[in-house]
Amino acid sequence: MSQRRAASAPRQPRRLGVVVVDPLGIVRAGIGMLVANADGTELLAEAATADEALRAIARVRRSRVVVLVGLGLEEPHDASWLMREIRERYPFHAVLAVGANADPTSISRALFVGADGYVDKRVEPDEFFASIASVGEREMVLAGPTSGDVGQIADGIYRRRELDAMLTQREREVLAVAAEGLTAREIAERLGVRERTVTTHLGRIYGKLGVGNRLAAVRMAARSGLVSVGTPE
Amino acid sequence: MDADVRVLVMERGLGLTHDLSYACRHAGVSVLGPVRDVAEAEAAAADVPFDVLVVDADETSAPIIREAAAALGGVRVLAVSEELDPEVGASVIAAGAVGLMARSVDQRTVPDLLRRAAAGELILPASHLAALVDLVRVSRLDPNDGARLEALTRREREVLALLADGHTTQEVSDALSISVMTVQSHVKNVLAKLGVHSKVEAIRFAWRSGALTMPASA
Amino acid sequence: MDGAAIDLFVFESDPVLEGVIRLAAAAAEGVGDVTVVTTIDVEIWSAPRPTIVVLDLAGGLDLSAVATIVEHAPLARVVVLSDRDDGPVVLEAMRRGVYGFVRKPDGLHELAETLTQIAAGERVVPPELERSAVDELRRFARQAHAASVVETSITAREREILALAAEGFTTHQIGRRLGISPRTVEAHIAKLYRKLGVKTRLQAVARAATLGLIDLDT
Repeated sequence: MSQRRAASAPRQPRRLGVVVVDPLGIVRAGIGMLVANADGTELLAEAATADEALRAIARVRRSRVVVLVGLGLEEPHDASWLMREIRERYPFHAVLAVGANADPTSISRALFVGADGYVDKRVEPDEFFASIASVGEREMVLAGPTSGDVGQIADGIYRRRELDAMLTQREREVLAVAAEGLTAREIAERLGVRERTVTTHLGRIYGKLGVGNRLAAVRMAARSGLVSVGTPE
Repeated sequence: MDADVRVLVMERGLGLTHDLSYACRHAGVSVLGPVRDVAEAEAAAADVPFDVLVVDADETSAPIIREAAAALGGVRVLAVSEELDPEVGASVIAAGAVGLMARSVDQRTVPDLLRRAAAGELILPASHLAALVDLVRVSRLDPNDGARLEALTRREREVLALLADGHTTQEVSDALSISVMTVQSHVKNVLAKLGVHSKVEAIRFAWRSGALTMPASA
Repeated sequence: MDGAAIDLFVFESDPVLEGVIRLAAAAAEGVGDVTVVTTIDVEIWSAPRPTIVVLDLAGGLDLSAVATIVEHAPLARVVVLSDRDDGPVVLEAMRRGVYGFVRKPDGLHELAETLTQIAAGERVVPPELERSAVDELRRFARQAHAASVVETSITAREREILALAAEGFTTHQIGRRLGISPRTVEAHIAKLYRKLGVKTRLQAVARAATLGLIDLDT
């Protein structure tokens, strides 16, 4: 029995799904309200840690999702880790990094691991919301940083490329862990290799970077965003 | 009294020379001439060195000014005309003059203007900026490479861009909705027009001349 | 002239452009004397006060000149004039730390205003150009990341072969230059195709250039 459908009201465009990830409850609540109250967006989930976020995203059955990732996420998995995971596992989702007066190097680090844009919490709610919408349309957004910052952010990415090009994958891993302040023994344990291997790697790293000690090497790594030292907020 | 600035006037009559002499009579600026053309100016330069050549000018004077500037080495050329037409101003600057002065300018300012001209300052009203900007030459690409790239048709350029992006002939054919044979024909034309022998050389050429911005595909 | 006025230096270029810059500088607020220089003599600008340096990118200088100036004269505020206004060029200029980016010729009409802002310490990049630069920023970041990922898997030998292939050498020629058999070369190339995710030699070269693994500019 075929039924003629009566002329129905035009279908509403699907609302943009948003997932909010931030360690602070008040931030999640604030952004959540902004998103929930607007017509074009819908709050799908919120999470306080990177692992919670991945679990929540796995449950989402949508293709048009914007994930807001607060740069203040901490151990065991930080914001860079989460953004990289999302990019690899769910490349169709858009990622918007959220910071509070983040320095250019932190922003370049976020872009390097795959963020589609960055928005600063200090911008007006209107602009914050517009950033979410733009990223949802696959546009690049940089809300908050000034003209001068754009150049420095680009330089951060450039320095990261230069640093990566100088070191092997293994050396980068060793340096990243060394930046946490662990001893050579602890680094060896973390990476599952012998302590002597670690010291050999470190020696080679110092040589390639043209530095004389671990502090200088870590400083270089931090300046190029290979590691983040301290929270960006 | 030794003049600190010497000015030679180039005109057909005597009026400009007379006016300038009068304006500079107590000012330490020595006005010489007139001479009638560049050859006479060169001869004068051999005799008595001067700092500024003042030329009675109009919209046809650019070639003479260019000739004078070339022939007289370190001498500054200052054009003078009845009215301050921005296009005349722009054209004399392009020809190598330091500026354009109006015949009717306040005579008390003339010695200072001539001194400034001698020092190499620009003598031009601010309102002439737009006309001057219109003369700014803009070249999009390196002249040699640019000419060859410009010889490509739009379609040929599209094909080149897609190839440089790493697409195969089949992919280019799909992307542009043309047959593979047509793509190959375009490629042959591109190679010929750019004067290269292989596709690799063609994309090197395009990269080198900056014609390709980074491909959009990531 | 105001004691706080900032002096401006411009690299010698054609008289029209110099004229435009002088006029704009005269009309701008806070800009002092204009000096035309012929070389990057950073001695001039390492004085402990801010200066404005105007560079015409078409004049044979490129953005590396900006880097030199910024490095040796940190108080110098560099303004570049450019024919090109695409994302990569603007972003690169911003990366080097320019205070101003002026597109020729239309940006020249507002040059006086631009110089006023720069004298006041502001950075000036037209909004549309900054927009292009920001779009390019994401693409630049993605490309950098992809290059880092791919690069870790490419050996030094493979990179050598890639560079030679990009110059147009055949398998045999590459083998001869590196002292290995053509079959070995082919084996390396096959591995390269896999690592780069491509199917032809042309694609490999294009992809490697896009990722910045080889330089097609030389």
